[in-house]
Amino acid sequence: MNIDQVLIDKIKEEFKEKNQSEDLIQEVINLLAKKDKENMTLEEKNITLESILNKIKI
Amino acid sequence: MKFELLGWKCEGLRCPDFNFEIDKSGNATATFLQMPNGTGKTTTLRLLKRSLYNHQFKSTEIDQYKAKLKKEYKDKGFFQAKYKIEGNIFYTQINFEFDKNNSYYTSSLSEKGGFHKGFQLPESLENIIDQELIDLLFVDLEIDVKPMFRNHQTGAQEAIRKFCKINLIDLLIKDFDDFKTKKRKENAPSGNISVQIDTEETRFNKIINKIEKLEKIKLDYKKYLNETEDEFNDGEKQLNDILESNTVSNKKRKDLELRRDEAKSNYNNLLKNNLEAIKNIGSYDGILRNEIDDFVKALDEMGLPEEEVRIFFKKILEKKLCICGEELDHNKKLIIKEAMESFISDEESRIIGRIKGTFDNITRIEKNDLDKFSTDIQKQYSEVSRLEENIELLEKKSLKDNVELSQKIKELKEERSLRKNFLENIINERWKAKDTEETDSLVSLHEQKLRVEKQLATLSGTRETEEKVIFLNNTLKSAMEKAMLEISIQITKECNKKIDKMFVKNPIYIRSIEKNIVLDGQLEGSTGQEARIGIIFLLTILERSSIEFPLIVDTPVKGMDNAAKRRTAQFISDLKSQFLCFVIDSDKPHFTDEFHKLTNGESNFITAFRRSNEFDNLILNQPKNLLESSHNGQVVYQYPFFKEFTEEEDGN
Repeated sequence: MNIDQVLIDKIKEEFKEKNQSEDLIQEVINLLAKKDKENMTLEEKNITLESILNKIKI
Repeated sequence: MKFELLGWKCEGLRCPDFNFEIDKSGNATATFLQMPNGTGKTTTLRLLKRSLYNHQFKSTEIDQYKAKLKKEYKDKGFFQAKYKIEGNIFYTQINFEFDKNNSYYTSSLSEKGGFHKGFQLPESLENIIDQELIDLLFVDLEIDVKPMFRNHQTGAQEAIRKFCKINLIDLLIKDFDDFKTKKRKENAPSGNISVQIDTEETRFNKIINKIEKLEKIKLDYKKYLNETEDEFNDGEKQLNDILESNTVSNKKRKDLELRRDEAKSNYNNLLKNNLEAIKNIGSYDGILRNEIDDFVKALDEMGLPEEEVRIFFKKILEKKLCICGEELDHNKKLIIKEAMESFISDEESRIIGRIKGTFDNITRIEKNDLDKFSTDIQKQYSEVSRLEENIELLEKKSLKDNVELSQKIKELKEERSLRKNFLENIINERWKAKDTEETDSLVSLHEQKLRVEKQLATLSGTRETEEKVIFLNNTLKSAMEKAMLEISIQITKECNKKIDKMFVKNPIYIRSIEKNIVLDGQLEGSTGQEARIGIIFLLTILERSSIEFPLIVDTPVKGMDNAAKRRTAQFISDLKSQFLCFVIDSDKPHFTDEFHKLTNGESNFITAFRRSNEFDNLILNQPKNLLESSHNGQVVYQYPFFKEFTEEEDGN
């Protein structure tokens, strides 16, 4: 049971439209996949969330 | 990933003690389990569901599982299910202690047993399986599929979200929300600001509690509407038939209804005209005109052309340097933005601008007498009420022999209408500035939550994190909505292709799947039509999510005609994942016999019944290796027996 490809494509499109980097997009998708497959520790999760927020350009 | 149900065993429960081995031959995908009414189909389906997630059994529920017959009652009982995931066998067992009104789980992750206390699934399933998924895969068509077609239910949408993993976005959004709250708390300053933060945090918690409370009510209301749907529709139809059967009174009623509808339409038009007049402030006549005149003058004295003030602020924000000569950095811009917001919002500025605008044109506008509007509205409202009372009286007379049913349906109508209104309108009302956390609008509560969070972020100096999280979550939400829409369109197309194959005559197509499954050109289908479309929908999302999970269905051909039963058999015979269904003897002609033909007998046909002298005679000549007996239950593995078995015990 995988994350639907349409959802992944829409995430890519939305972030690209808002001029966000490929790096950020990939990190968001990786996090989603990780949440789906395994139990992340709180520390591991917080590091990833911080890293994603640091890459956002508003 | 391939996940299969291999069998189950139960002892000391209300159904007879059975031990099922589903696939004795080891290569069939479909299993038909024939159990006469009263042998425990519903209990079995429910316990199979419970065997895959950690269910908290309430004492009233435990009581439902104990043996009904006094001579069969035991203090203890259990239900053990056997599964296989990627070749590895595991068991879960629900243990009942009826004497103590208690239950507990034991599990084993190995084929050899060795049960440990507690509920445990193999690691590969832990993150995939939950109650929502199981409720979609182990289906009672009446309970689980029918609601997917009702416009106040969201079962179909939830199924897509679940199978396509769209729900993961909600979890991610929650993670980011929790993260920003964590940052805010880490940054909380001391002193006066800390008191303000505490006040806002208290409000924040109240909002969250109210949201949770409303979400629970939402679920309860949906459940109520679903549970009372058939009773209400059947009762209403019955009453309508009675009313229609009395020709004279029916004619009178129809005439009154026509006049009532006309009066209602006039009343609505008057309300609309009155609203238009109210919006056109400059057209007011009389005392109200003088009061507004004073109001506009006061605005002018305050020097308020509001939009100009906003333009002034906006122009400052565009500059690199402030008018005082200092550089405008991010923090200073934030302060100016806040000053602008607290001065007057865009919306407020537009409203005041409009009032002044209409008032300036006063000489050119026709005068509206609001008092006359009000009198006309009252008159028309009385007419509608009078006609409605007459209709009610007439109906009461016609239904004098069915007072109880009439009263019941009236109560149901009122209650259902209240709950529908709550689900469709109240929780979706727009946010208003005067709203508090006491409101019943979820939309407003979410807006209030956002505002309090912004305020908290400002107070704790985490505005940047706050803005980034809002940006990120809005982007994810937008992606989620667009994905949901596109997936729904794709699934609708795929289902309609399958419908073309399955419904040869008069196919009923799906128009859309947004919250619920909407049929093309009709409000709802018959039980059989909805059952078939429901199965098609579930199989389509199962295929799409590329999981090989078992689909277990109770009474899959209920309400279907013979042709529909044959096509359902054909459709199921093409499935790749495991399929198990419970049938009764009346489901066999045109369904299981058709399936047997289509698959050259390569399926499992199992019969299970409560033992009795009469039934024990039926198995006398059956080979012993095809029987599984207990003191009160009998399982027979064989198609000829399955086909011939037609007796049902009376009184069950």
